[in-house]
Amino acid sequence: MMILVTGGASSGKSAYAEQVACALPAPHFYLAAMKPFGEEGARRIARHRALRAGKGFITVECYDGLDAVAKSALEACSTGPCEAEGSASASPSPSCDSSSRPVRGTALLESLGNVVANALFADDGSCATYDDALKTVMEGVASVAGAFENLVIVGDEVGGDGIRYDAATETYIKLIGSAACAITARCDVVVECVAGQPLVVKGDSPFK
Amino acid sequence: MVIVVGGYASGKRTYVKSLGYEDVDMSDGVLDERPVLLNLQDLIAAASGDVQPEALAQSVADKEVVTCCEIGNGIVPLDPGERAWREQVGRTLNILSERADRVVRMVCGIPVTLK
Repeated sequence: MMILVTGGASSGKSAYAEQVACALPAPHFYLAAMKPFGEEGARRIARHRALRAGKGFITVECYDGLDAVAKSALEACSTGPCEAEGSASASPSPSCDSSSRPVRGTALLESLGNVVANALFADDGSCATYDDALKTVMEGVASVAGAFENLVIVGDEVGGDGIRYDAATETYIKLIGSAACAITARCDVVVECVAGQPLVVKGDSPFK
Repeated sequence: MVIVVGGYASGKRTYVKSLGYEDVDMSDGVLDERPVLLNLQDLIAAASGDVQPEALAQSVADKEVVTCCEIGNGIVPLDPGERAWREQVGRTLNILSERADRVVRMVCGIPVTLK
């Protein structure tokens, strides 16, 4: 099962995506794509950590790319509290041993905008081409989708302000839009959060 | 309370009128005794930057209708003050919509009921 939860800034999408993920089978992995950058970034991350606290997520940092995520999740699982958390559904009990693939459970990837930024903008200030970055993003998402039983992706709505930007920023906007279109084509459920309210735009509500 | 969100010129005010309110019932970005507040985002922009969303939500708690432009669907603003404003508007709306009886989003003049 793949679910995209998109929405504008501070629309409640993270909180909603967590609810969705928590209702799907454990173990629950939080795939953190945001590069910790500066004081404001640290504050954002702290806010999201507080939101997730006590919900039993195993955090896997993935801002260096998504390819190694499944391996990192397995490693985290062998040392982490995988079995500590009960499964929210009647699915088979979670298995974390490295011989069974895909990894059991549910991954929450936050967020598509960060995944795109990581693929497009290098630390040295250079910028990948649109085609290369889109390929990196889609291959990464496919590898994550193949590694977990369920994947919940938090999207970003960045193309709605009607403002023209520099070439790099416009490439970033276009990439997020294109990647989201390609991802929703594969998704079972797509939800947009608006003013804290979920608007199901594809499939059935995950809480029906 | 009814919350009406939508882009600029998406038909929010026209929708509020369809609920039976007239222009004289509406204040635009300022707090007074009128039952309808238009442009919550302007009220928040005029407030001090460090006002908490909960306090902002409380300040409009007696309104029957609140409209607000959706401002969070663009690129993250470079200016820290604009970023903070955008987040305040979003979080205040989340609080209000959780308590509201009805939440509507206007799409090209068509009301889409979210709650």
